[in-house]
Amino acid sequence: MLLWVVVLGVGALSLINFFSSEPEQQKIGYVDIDRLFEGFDMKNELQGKLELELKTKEIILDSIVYKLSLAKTKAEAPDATDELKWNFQQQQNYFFQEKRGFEEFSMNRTQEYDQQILKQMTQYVADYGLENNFKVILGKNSGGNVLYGDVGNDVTDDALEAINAKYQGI
Amino acid sequence: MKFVLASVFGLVVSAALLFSCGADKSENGISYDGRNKANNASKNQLSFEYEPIVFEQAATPSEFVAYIKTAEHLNKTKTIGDVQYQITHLPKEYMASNEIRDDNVAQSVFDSIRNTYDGVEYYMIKIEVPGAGMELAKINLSYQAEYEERIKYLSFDMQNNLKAITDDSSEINCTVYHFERTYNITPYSTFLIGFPDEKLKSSKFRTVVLNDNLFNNGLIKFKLSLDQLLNTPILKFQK
Repeated sequence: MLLWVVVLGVGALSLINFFSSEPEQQKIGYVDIDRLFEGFDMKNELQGKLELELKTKEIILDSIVYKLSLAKTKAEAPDATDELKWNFQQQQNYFFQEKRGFEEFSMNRTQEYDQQILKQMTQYVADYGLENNFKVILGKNSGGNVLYGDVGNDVTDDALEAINAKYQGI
Repeated sequence: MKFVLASVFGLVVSAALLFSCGADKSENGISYDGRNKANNASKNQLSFEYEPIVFEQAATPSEFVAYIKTAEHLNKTKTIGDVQYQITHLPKEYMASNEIRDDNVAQSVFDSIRNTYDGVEYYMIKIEVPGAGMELAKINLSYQAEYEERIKYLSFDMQNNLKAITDDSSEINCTVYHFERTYNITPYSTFLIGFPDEKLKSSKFRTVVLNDNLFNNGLIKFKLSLDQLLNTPILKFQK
């Protein structure tokens, strides 16, 4: 009887020793998605690029508006000919067409850049998680995916530094 | 005596149990061991196929070529989603060695060929979608004509989506560009690119930027230091 107690005891102790000597704990962390997105270099670069692109197009649109206002003045004059009125109509159509193009461009570009940013951000956060032994990294945002998180588990700053380094190709 | 034997048996059984537990854990992919394995697999994906050759002595031209292709400090890899991008710095000695392909070449002949590559900093960009098993231009085609459009983009227009940025934020356009078309023989595509080295020579770091319009992954950046780029073996010549 005593023999079996010793045998089982040694086995149990060895098992306890095995499980208690795991090399490293897997971590669970969360990131503030809004802060991560706002601080991501790629987002800031592309935002600047988009603003520049839109500004260039706005200047073109402004010059069309200016020409349109001149054509309108001429077309509304008491002695306006049919040709002037037709010219105004044509310019007005052109303006609406360009304005629609501008709005489409703005929407498509924003979507395109958002997609690119999201793709790279997701990839780099995954890389960060893998390299730093995370089991899970949760995303905290206003949508309420994480209702409470201990401050100690907030890895936003670390993750932001890592994803920016990855993006910059360091 | 019987008691001692039984104790030893108990220890052996316990040890065997432990080892078998360890083996199972590493295989099921859930344990720490399993995760580490995944970690290693991922690291392997990001690293290069062969270990770099360490030269204690000078290298022959063919050894030099092999070294450049595998030297970790001259190669950088980045994965975005399914797409893997790799950049390799190609020193002028590499360009000449690759052109000559003769270890018995005289140094004077080698130097004259090497000098023809002066003025440009060369890189090789390799783009691959691991597991796709087909050339880049054929992946996820939406319509038949898109293949031709992609080939046109890869052959010509992608050059405009490449630039190098220096320490002082100067942007340098890509002046040498060659898409190595392999007609579906390889599951990846390679591009030989080059930037005028006039400004790059004085820059401690350079960031090569590809704006990937093919997979819509946006700006893909690789930052490389001049110190690392200059760290290559010395060539040896027979004559």
